[in-house]
Amino acid sequence: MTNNLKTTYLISRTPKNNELVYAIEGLENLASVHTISTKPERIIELDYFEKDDLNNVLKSLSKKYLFYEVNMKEKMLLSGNEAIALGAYEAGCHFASAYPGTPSTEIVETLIKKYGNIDSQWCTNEKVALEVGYGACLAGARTLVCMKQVGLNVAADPFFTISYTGVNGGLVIITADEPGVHSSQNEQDNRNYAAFSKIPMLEPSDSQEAKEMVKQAFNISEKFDTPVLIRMTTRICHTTGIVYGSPKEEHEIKKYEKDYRKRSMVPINAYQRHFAVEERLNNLRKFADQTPLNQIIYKSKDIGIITSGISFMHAQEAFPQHSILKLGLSYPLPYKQIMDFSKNVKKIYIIEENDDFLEMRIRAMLPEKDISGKDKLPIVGELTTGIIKKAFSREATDKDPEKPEILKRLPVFCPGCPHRGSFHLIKKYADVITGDIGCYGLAALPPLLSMDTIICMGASIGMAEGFSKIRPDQKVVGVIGDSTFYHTGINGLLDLHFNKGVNKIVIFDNSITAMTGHQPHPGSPIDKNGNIADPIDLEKLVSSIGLQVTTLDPLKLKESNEKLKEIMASEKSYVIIFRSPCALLPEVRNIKKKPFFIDHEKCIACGACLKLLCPAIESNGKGKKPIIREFMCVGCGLCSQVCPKNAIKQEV
Amino acid sequence: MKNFNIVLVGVGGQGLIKSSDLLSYAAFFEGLDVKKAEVHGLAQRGGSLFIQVRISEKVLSPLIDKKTADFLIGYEIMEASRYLDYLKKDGTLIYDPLRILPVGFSSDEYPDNLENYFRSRNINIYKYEAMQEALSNGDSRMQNVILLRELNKYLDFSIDAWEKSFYKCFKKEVADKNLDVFIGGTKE
Repeated sequence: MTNNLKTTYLISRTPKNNELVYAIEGLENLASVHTISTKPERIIELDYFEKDDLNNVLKSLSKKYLFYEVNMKEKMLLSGNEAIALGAYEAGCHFASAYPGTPSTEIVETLIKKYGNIDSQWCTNEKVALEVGYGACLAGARTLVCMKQVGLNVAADPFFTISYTGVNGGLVIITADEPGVHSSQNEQDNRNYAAFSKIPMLEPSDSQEAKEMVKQAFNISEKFDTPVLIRMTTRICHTTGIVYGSPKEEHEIKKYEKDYRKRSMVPINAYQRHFAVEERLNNLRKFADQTPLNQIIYKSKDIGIITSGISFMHAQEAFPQHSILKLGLSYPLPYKQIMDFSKNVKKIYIIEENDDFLEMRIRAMLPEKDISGKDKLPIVGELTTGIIKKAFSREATDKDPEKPEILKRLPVFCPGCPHRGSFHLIKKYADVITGDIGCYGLAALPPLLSMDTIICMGASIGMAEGFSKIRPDQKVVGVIGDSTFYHTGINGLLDLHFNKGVNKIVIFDNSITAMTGHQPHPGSPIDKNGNIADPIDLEKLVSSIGLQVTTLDPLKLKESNEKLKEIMASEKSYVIIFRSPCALLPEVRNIKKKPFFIDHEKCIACGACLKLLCPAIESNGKGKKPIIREFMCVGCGLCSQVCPKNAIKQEV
Repeated sequence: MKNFNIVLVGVGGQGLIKSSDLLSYAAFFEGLDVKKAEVHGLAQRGGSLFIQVRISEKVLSPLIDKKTADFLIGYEIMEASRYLDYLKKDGTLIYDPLRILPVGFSSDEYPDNLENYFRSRNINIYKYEAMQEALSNGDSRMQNVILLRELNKYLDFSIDAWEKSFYKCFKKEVADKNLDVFIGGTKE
């Protein structure tokens, strides 16, 4: 009957009412951590303990508080993305799909590497990933679909309508946003998508919560018949923190039942389903007021903070003395809870990154209340503890001391990168280069400045077509990577032929999705597990559209240049495939090539090799002879090909 | 109570991510809470790298503001200068005087007054020629482990915690080799 285990109660103040409870440690496979409690107030050791009692206690508490059943022995360090993958595993998820995109990539990467029991795949783009995922969901599987913030733009079409058509197995969609724009083309705040589509949204504040929220999200999805968004941000995705493992839940694949009124959105059905969506949203509003995902921590009642996601962590640290309403479910908002909180605090600070998503809604609820938010905090960029502290205080910012002049260190193409050769070849033939999303975007930066535009995945081809139609006198080249071409570039190419555009289109085929860390695409020779794949024949695909196609080697400058010259002079549209695998692929790196060196007897210090901007070539100043850093040179030999004096040779 | 805000800076390819993993796991095995924040994607391609590690009983925000870091570990001297503002007053700069020239510049443009700049600030300075030691051991990749060893003179994490961390982050043979350098230098 009694469990003679030494059990430790870690006790902290509860968010509501200052009652004492909390995390229970030491009982085998059964313990709870509460991520909000910063430090235990007291530790009580009990000699023994009845497990049944504990379960009852936990059950009653779990209605009020967010309890995680965790195994304290299974403690690990995980990034937010790895934690999402673990959460999917523990939630009994059956299927996962994604298109890679920073900062979301490692979720499905981890699923493929570590959780083979979940059928996980890279899809051609985010729209397809969501459609494949939705198919699996309707077939009855618990399904996870992951993408970066701009990926949801691509997937927006099915996204809005599946809000109407609901789920069968639970469907959780991860949007990984980028406040601070570390690796994206804009800083859009995807919380707006939740309100726009009337889909509920959770926002974790650290890795542990990210894991737990996947499970919560699946439950909400199935309970309310809705897809659920989890909004991550770079600082959750790419921050590593302590996570406790939990037992895996088992969920059967659900039965599929036909229901054309619910799932076939002809206008009459869509009209009816909109009523269902509004009703669901009302039910979710009630749920928001009851769920322990939203919590109030009362401290000083002069100021109350309302916050969510990573901002919760910064805010707690900036203002440890203030009361906090932490929103784990940040759409729809908990109306009653916000009203209660507002009655109990004199002034409200709303602390959120980017848009005034919470503030706009809370101000509408509380028109008379003293509220501060974006009047003090920046809309652009990330928040930090320091930025928040400064924004709400009158402290003058002290000036930074004078710094010596420090050189910029911009990212560049890797040694041996085939893009270096490609741009060296193309740029002399093009007046305008419309670019796309990938490593080759680095060509837009100084001093290369070889790309006019970067907008979104696949934009280069259509933009080149349109530009040329207005300015036929200009040589406009659209450049795009292989993965990006399969993603959404192919549609532009169809249009180019269909609407009789005249352009040269360059596809950089390095055989893999390189920038996000080598995920395979339909043209890759290997699959997600590294096995031999059945790649699409890109030349056949392009020529089947009716366009001329030529394949060139970007690392053989002379030969490729001769052919390119002919093609660029022609009046027809052409697709030029520059084919050479990414220099970082293991199969390329493993072929060790001897490094090159500069023979200073022959070198005339003309600077031709330096123009390649290879990290392995070091300049000694104008008019001086450069050197090759042997340890960085991978032996691609591009520099020897541009040297007019044959002064660059390979070691033997 | 151990409470450290540590910023690691250097150039992509110097092994900073591995270093920050080793450091985080050492703190983890020391029984402390830890959060490590880094940025992936485009920022990695040979650009300047900035990784933040916070270690304490309980870490909330993963980010370190300017003027609040206890330690700045510079794997390259110009990168150390770039982020020196992150050190708090009386914080400690540990740096390798190694110079890596950024692409697009020539060696005569590399600033040579950086150490004067360090000395003009109210900080503790600890210079250690880690790359030189690594090269004399015949493996430039050891630079990161050597700098961590020097950092641990301040952190004072147990060798046991570091050992566990090394075996967690490296394959056994690599861990053994790196531990030799780490422990060897600690004993001296």
